[in-house]
Amino acid sequence: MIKRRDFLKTVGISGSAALLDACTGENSETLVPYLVPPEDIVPGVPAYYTTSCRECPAGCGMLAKTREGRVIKVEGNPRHPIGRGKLCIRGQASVQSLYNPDRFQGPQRRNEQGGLEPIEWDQAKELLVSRLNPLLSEGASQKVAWLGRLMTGSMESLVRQWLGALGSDRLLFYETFQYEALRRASEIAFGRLELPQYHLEEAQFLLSFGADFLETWRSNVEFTSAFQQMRSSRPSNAPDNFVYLGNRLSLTGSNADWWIPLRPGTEVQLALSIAHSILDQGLAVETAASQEWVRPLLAPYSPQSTQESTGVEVSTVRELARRLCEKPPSLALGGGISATGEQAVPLELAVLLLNALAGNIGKTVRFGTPSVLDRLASYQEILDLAQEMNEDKIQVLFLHHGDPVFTLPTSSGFAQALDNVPFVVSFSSLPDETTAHADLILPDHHFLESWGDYSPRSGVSTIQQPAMQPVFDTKATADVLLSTAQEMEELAARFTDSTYAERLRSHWDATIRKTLDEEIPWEEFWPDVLTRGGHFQEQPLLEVDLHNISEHLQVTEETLVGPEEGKSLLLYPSPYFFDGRNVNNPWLHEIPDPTTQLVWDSWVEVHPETARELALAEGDVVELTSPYGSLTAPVHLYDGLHQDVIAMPLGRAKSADLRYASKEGVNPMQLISPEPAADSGSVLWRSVRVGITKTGARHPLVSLQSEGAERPEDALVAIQPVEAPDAAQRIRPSELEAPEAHSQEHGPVDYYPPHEHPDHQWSMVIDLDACTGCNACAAACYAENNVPVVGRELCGHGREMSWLRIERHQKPLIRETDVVFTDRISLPVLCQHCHNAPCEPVCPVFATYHNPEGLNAQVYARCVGTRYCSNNCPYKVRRFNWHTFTVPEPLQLQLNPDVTTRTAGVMEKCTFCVQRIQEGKNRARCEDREVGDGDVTPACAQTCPTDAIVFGDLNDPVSRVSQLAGHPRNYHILEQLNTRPAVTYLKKLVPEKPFTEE
Amino acid sequence: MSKSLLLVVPTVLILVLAAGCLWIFPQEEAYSPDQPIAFDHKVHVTDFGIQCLYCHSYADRSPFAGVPSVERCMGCHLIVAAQTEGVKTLNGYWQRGEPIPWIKVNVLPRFVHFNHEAHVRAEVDCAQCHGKVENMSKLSRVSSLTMGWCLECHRQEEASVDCLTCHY
Amino acid sequence: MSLQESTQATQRGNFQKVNRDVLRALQPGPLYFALLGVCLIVIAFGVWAWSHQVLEGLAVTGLRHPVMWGAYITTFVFWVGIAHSGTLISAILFLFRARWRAAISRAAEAMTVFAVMTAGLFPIIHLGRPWLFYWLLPYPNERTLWVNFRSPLIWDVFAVGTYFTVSAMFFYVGLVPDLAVLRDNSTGWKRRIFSVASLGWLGTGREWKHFSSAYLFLAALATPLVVSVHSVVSWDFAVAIVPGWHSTIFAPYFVAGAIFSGLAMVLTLLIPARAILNLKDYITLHHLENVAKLIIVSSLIVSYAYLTELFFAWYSENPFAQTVFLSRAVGDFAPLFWLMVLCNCLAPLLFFFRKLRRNTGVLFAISLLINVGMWTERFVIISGSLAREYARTSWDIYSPSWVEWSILLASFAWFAFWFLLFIRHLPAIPIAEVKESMHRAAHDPSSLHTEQQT
Repeated sequence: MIKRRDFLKTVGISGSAALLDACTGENSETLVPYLVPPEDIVPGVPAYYTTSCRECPAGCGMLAKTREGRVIKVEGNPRHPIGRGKLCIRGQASVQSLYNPDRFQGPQRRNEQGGLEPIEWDQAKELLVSRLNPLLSEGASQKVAWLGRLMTGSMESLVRQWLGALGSDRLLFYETFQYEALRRASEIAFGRLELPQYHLEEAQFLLSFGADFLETWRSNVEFTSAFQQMRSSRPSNAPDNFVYLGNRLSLTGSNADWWIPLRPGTEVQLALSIAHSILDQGLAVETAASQEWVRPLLAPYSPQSTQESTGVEVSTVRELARRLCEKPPSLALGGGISATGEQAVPLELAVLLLNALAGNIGKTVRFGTPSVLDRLASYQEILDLAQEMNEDKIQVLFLHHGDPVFTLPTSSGFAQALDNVPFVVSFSSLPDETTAHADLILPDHHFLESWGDYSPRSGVSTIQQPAMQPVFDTKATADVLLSTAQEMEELAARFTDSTYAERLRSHWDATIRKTLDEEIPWEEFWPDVLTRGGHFQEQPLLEVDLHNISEHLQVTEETLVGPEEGKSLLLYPSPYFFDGRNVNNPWLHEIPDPTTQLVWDSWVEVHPETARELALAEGDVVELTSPYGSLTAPVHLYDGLHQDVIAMPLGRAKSADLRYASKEGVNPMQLISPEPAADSGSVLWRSVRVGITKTGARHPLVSLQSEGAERPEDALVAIQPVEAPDAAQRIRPSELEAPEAHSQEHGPVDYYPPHEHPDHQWSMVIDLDACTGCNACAAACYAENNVPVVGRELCGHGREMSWLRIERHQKPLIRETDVVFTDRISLPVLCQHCHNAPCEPVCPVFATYHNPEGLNAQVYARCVGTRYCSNNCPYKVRRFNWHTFTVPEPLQLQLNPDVTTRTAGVMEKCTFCVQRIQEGKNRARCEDREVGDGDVTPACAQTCPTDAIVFGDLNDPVSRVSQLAGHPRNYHILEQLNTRPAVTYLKKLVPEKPFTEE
Repeated sequence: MSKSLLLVVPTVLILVLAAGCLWIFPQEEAYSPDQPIAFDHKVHVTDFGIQCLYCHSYADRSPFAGVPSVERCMGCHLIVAAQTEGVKTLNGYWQRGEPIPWIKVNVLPRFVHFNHEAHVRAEVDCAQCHGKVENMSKLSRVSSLTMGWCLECHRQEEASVDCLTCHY
Repeated sequence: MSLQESTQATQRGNFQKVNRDVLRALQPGPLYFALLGVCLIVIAFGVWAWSHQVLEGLAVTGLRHPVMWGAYITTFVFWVGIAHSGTLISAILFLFRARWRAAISRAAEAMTVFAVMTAGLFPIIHLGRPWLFYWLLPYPNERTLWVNFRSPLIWDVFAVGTYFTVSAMFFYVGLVPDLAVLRDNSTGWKRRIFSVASLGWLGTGREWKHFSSAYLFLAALATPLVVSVHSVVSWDFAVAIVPGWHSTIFAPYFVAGAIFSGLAMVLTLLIPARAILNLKDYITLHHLENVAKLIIVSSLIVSYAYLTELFFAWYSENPFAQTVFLSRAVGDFAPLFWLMVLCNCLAPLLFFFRKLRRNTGVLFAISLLINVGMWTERFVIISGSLAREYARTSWDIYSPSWVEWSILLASFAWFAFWFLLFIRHLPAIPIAEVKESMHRAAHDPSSLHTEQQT
């Protein structure tokens, strides 16, 4: 037996131990004050900086949200004409490029062994100077060249001046995806060597020849919101006003109402036969039709004659022609990457002709606003540079971002040419295929760390300001140039500005402020620019007239090199990775690809029919062989392809040493032809036929959506479309009620009294007709809520943590006719914050409960991890922490301090961004006012380019969400369960009639 | 009735009671660590009448009260009491350009989001949580800062007692 | 001497034989210690596996979105089920005056107690943060936070807790007279312990009177628990909206299943026990046969429940329910489903043949099959339904990881460990009751159909 005294002692100890465990637990946490407090930083209060997104050339306006001097999130800049407050998934993920653990941590030099070794900046500059001085002394000309990403304004002027000082004007702007063919076509047709500006928002009908404007084509965010405006104004009884013609059903394609799968290489003929049919039916506008060259040009392309080769019915062509012209203006978009082959220029010409005949010029197709993309060096010019490099004409080559070795056709020999240059300087910040050939690496700041300016098109000058101190020991390229110049006595005199920031200001003063009509003092001008995010002014519309294009429009049979039995290879820009510049951003790998729902990995898409012929199954590794090279990749079966085509995404993996995306020899550019297009000098994206051979190896691809979703009788999406009378019955008061059907049968449905929501009732409306499935919201959610990335393996085990998933509901595409009904519904699924939440009553410890503002609360600190809530959640939106997930340094700097990071064993889920709700309420309280509509916006709704997600307070009758909750198209998913979600969905409008009447 | 029961019954009772008490009345031992500089709140507040917000300047506009920057300390101490031990150490930090690693006295766990601004605006007096700092030569913790302690006040003042007010 | 005397003499002789035999059973052999050792090793491994899980997080299990419950909860339900027949045999049969129960009642009660002890571990083992398990208990705390009484998991805590207390009391009270016998036959410290434990039992008529009323009372108290406990456990599932769980028949369905599996476990334990401890005279084929008969009955009830479930799914025209049961019958879970049908519905039918149900080999084999079958049944119900829930897009398949398997194994070892200790230190069959029934037999042979004379 134990003595009472010992007994009490033990209790005391265990008791106090338990107490420590229960309350905070004393730990000597230190409290480190600023040495000198930076003005405009208040700890705990976010500071926002306007800047410009540089993830792609589109240049959307951006707001960087900083806390305690570090960027934690980026959002669109509402006052910026490009993006208008929205960002795409790549923009949202750009913070991960900033904090990327694999970035160059400082300057590096290639040593004798051929490896890279870190050096000091002074050494680096000495080295650079030592290589440049000889060139100056011998007064060499054109010995230095600069190949890099697009620059404008002060940066461009600086680089030009700098190169000039070194006796060279070889400044080439490089982008993987160019629009040379379109520029040439515009020149031929309208005498303007520039990209036309498209105005989708004004179009009544849209026809795209493989232009993926919702993903990667030119300026996707801008186009997406314009697209939404166009769609929202369409009649609900005839909602099909977007037809996609192409070999592959891209994300853009699956947002079309109809898809016409084209045999590769027949785009031009189809375009011309549509034009022919327009004239035929006398639908053309007089100005264009009256031109005498038009009819003879189109004569040979009657729908009957093209039907054979294109495989498109006469009736379909006539219908397309009719729709293009019946309700002007319409719009035809030409040649995306997928359609860029030998026939690129003729295709663009034909499409411009279509627009001319339909009378769209000056309305939806406008000239006079040159885009920055007009200044890109064509592939031909790059080849010329490579030629000079091989001929030892180039002594020093500067590479400024971009990864030409990876993104140029491998067999173009650019890599070898690089090795032939005595001294290659790279300013890239991330290791890639190109830096592997560099002799000196002077890592540039990330755009969130540095000053700069960027003008994506004339009239839009964006300022780019440093939102934080550099993460690593990097230097802004501009400052490197200035300081090296100042160290070379010949140049020192010509470069007086001490810093680039200074030069930037003087440049803006000279080129913008002084050119303004009314005089504005600098003290007003500059702060305004910084707060607005730049300087924007409308460009005048330029009148153009149609030239005779006949002699440029010879249509020839497209020649593809490669095995006869092979399939035409279609390379497409990855919607998330563009050309692979952000390949090491883990969020982008973890968020399912919008068309395939696959995560991580790279793959080759094969049509199920083709797969049957070749006895291929999902996940089989195949070898693709073209005359120029070969690679192996796992097969993904995709029915959104023309049968003669196999497709591969670009830039999902690189061979460089990157922890999230390192894979040898998966670059599809190995396969395509190095020859430039004869007419436009651009890359022949569609140039080869590839042979497919089964290797016998298997590499299962990880999909986050079980194929169950493909079934027609799907639980989550309501049956489409909504007929008007039915719709009338469906309208509900904004107070979330039980489904009528249920209440009619059973009378009052609930045993427990309804929840009271005295102050607010937060609610969300998601318009499935507007959602394009771009997944920008998902990335925003990852960024805002510290959602961990679990990696490929755990994804395969169903342990992904995403709070918001976009489900792809698409029945197998049936090809009865030449026109395919895409029938895709992109369904964003997040916690529905049910009024009768099944998860709440089953939690034994009240870790989840219904809070007074209508939120389904999840208290991490209270959760013991019985996981009952997840079992009982019909929407399967709850995520369990299987591990304590961590992020590698310095990615943890991005974590949002307002959101608790969760540890192993607790459940988590969408909170409607409760931290933003608290902040909004707090702000209102401190300003002594009521919380108004728009004070609180969750991350997903904030970034949605189509405003498909609307959030607000149902208690406020005038809030947008209250208005929309009673919309005729409303429904709740799994409504029959009487969970009464706070998330209301609006059904997608789909055509009820077939495409062609006859 | 056997001996064993005589043992078992009271044992169990005591166990339950002891545990119960520990949960209901958490110990509120004053936590008072030694700081890198023996800073004396009494001198600064009582003797020199410096307002809390002069040093903890963010308390009314941020979730964090903030500790004064070394610069702010030096603002006065370049001249004032420059020869005392504490100020010499302070000066040392200033010269070396190091921040002072103060040790946190009022610690909240990571999963609690406390907002000073909201409480200051609700006219909660600093002393209500931090105690009579003006009489503390050496700062010590006076409140348990446990959830029950927070709730007490929130109930009294009819402030929100919804979990999501602090836990998210 | 007169017949009267002779019978008394033989009876006295028999009584001594009983004492001898039963007490001899308490002398362990090497086999016994070997078994004990194996159990301890397996338990140790299970503990290690679990500590691995606590440190790493539940990622080491096979659980995944959306199948959040798997082997652990299955095993929990399985052991709670096992616990049942113990009470059934000792309490309910006692109330029904089924004399033949006497010999096996003690073992059954012990089984009950140990099974609940095993089952109770699993809700804690399966937690994401097991060190906070006490948050599931309503205790006063300064956060003024209470448990959610709407949650079936809390009902579980009470149901299982109550069941454990009562069955333990029942077990102990029934033990008292025999503890006295042990006391009288032991010396030294053992004697001291037994004298404390036997609460100074002397065996006076008055004590017997109180004893029997107490025993009767506890039996009456335990009986409704047989129904309540497993009903509550079944509500863990029936209360949820998961298709395949959300069904009104779950309570009776689970109780029947519990008794079914429990009876099987009784056979699994007794057949080897009587062989090893050679208690063949006391636990006779007759006893085993009666258990077998009960098994047939409960098996038929369970089979009926299976059919009813399928009928519901078909007749309700609820697409979700239909999906689940299709996936069980012909889908991914078909192998397990049909294994379960084989073990639980078909195998027991063999007991209709007298020859087979009196063959210990067959009895043992089938009892094992039933144990497997009933574990599989719970597995299919729990993870099979979760894997095929409303949101088709989230469907996934679950299979336990090595951690879960080893913890399952360890649970058997843990159970066996206690059972071994029991048969080593306490009389596995109730001496008093056996004597009582023999006494009856002597005076009115018709009242007992056991072959006493071997």
